[in-house]
Amino acid sequence: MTAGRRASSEDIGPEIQAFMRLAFDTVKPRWVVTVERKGTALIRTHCDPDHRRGHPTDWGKVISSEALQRVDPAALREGNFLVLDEGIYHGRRIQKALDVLEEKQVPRNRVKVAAFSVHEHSSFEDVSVRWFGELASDRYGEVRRRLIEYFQQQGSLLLDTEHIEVPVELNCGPLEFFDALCRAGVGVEHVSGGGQQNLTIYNPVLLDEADLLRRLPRKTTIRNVVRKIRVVERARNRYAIIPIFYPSVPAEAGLDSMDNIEECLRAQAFDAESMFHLVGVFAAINLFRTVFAFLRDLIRDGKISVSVPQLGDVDDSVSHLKVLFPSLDIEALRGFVERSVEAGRAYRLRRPQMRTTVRVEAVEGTRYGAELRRLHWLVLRRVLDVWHRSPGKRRGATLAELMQIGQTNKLAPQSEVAEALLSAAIDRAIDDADLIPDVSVLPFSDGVRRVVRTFKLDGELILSDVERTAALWRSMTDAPPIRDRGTQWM
Amino acid sequence: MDVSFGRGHNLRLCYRSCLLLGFVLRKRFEGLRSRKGDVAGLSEIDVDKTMRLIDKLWEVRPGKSGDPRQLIDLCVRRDYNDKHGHRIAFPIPHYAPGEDPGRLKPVLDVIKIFDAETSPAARIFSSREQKTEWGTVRLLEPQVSLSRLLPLHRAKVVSSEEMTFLEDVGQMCGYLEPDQVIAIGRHEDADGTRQSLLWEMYRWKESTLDALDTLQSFGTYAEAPAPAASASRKLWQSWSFALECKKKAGLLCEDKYGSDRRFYVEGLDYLQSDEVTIERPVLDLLLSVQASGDEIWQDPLVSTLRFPAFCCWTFSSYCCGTLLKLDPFKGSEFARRTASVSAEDLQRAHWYLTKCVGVSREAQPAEFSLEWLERLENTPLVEIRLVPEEVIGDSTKTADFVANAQEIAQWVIETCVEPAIEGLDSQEA
Repeated sequence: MTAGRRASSEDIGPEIQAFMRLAFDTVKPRWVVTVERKGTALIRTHCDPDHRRGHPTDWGKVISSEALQRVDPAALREGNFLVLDEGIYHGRRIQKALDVLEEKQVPRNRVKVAAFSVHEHSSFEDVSVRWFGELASDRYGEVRRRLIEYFQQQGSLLLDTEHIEVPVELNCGPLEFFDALCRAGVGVEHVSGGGQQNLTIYNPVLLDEADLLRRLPRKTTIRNVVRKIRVVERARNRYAIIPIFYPSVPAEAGLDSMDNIEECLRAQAFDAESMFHLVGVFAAINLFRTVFAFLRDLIRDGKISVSVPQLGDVDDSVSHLKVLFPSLDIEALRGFVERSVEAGRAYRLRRPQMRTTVRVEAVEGTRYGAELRRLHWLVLRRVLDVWHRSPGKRRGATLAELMQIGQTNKLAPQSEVAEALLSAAIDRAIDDADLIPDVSVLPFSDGVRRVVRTFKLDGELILSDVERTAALWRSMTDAPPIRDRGTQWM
Repeated sequence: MDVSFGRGHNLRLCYRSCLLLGFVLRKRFEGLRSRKGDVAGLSEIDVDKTMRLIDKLWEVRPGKSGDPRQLIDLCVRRDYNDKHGHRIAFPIPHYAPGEDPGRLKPVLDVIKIFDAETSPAARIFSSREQKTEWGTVRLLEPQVSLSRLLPLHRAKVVSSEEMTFLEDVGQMCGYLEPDQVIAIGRHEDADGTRQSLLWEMYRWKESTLDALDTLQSFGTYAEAPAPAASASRKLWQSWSFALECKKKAGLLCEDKYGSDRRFYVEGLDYLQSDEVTIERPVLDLLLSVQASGDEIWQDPLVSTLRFPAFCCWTFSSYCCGTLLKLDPFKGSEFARRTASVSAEDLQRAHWYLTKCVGVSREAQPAEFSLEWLERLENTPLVEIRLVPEEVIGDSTKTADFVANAQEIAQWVIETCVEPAIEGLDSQEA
């Protein structure tokens, strides 16, 4: 079924909701397979009380395309499948998901595909539900951009599905809140494309670092890894705190090396890549201790209130992990999150742990805002270079490879500020759906091969856009001029 | 150019001005904090005078356009004067186009109203109280970040260059100590300093006469605490207005209270030193709108007021400083505020006052200095009957002291202050 609408630049939210209702009413699925990441983001915007009729009411019925391999075929014997993505350019990702379903012996006639927009050159034709079809490249890009802005307005939903967040409500100025967190690490404040305030704390202090390292798989390293605290404005006076921490895990580590990781996470490990993700979830939840230790005084003074949402609440931010780990004990995971939050609240910081607040404002129209945009472009350019130069299988760029860009920073003489800006630039690129996180197994100088977080360009459209721009704009230090419409590069 | 004076439009302009001011203050606060460690906030006077400085610079910023969408100037007046001195103030939007507004409200007071009506997340300032030797002081922490200016930027009310300019001004202000930013904020030329100083002398006169009248109505000064509390407040007010006279006149720069002249010159010198990293164009702009210390304080408009200001200061040091040490006033909040006045200070004040009351109106110097006064050999034209130690040690002398103080105050007012403030022409709160 095609809605046959013409793409427009007006507010796209009602159209997304109408598309989702149409897809669910048409297919009446027992299962929803979301193509990462935007398929999952669509479901996250959709899971509010007003739209629950006929739709999955729990995350147990939603499976990420990346988790599909791990699902027992026996569980998939009944019901219709809705394979959901925000857009189909060539159709490779959709086809990949369908191939996995076929491997799981799910008959094709039980599978329906829904995409919000379809490119005119897509080789994938069997789309049951679409809102925009036969879109030329310009229009496809515009719809994509509007969709991403919508996700940003809903609260940066393009962050990885495996991030857990805890909401806080402010009864003080946001800068008091930000300043408290910026004592844990250098903070970069910026505004997303959707107009939400964002703060990224770079390399926040680890409380009891030695204890954390003892619990990680042997030979895991936390050097040159993604470690940050994202703070995203969700509504007036409400923010989501999202710690992100991906230690690099040895590729040869056995499952027994996970023995000291929280039980509910340990039980989900089955290979090196899953271990990487689960260790990441574990390490990130530990960062809640840092967060709430630094917010302790504000909470005590009633300037911030926090509570970990219950499962099934509107702001439940734990259950969506079932999309990636279908058999995850969500109740136990929520308990772990709560304990970490409480441990942070009870923690008395020692003076050496409290840094001077450093908060950089990188807002559009300012020097640091221009620097953020410049770094955003250089990150994409570097990712493209690494992509082309990777020997063997193409891969994304590691954080260490991206951090080399920071040496060109003229505005921030202190290197930590330069690194923090670069980290925020990577966040912007992810939020804008220019980059997508990935994993690769890489050799390290100590001879150990480890699973590491990498970043690659998000899809063919972005890849061709960046390639074309890089061919026209050769500067290795500056960003190209801003374009008025469509994608932001030339 | 459409300059609508509708209430809604005016309020919008006021609010936008407050956001810009709040942002620069935030940068100042962060600058101070990065240099000094934990800074609990900015005092209200620091905020007030910094805002005045910001307005001076915003008015002459480079690239200023006549685009009616933009915030061409902050909609404030800089010559508003009340008991807190020269301040910036908004015109109250209750007048017809073409009419002189007449009524002004200090910007800081308007921000307090805005903040009282909004949620904490939308406030310009958050505040906390801090105990000091001066009593409980309210400190303000500005809460406006760049992201709050972004809607103005997107609506082309403020350009990118202007946002950068505001950041640079804030960064520059972050290098200044509170005394320095207050001095630079409230002074810029001799004429303004003269006006400001005349207002302080006027307020000194009013508060001193009021304090002495109140004291005269007491009997033995062993009255119930309430009258003593009221009297001690008035004594302290007289003393503090006298202190402002001294500071604004640039007198006794090196004593424990300092002077605006010293802080003004120190601040400007520091900003031009190698220790400071600020954008040169902003510094040049500052130096173009601010006269030098000599241009202000050596100008006859100001220098001729030094002697009258010194008389106010010396009198209040002698009179209020002595009285606040007496038993009925001891232990009061205002006595604590003048605890820095030592016995030596009182002795010195007595000696200087004895000299001052020997200078007739005609003999007042065009350029006063302590050396000039110390060389003077004259006879007091009004008798100073008691030295402070006599009064502090003997409560029976208090009534006589007060009566004598009234005579001396009257002489100072008639001979020094009133001739000076005759030319006062700025509007009063």
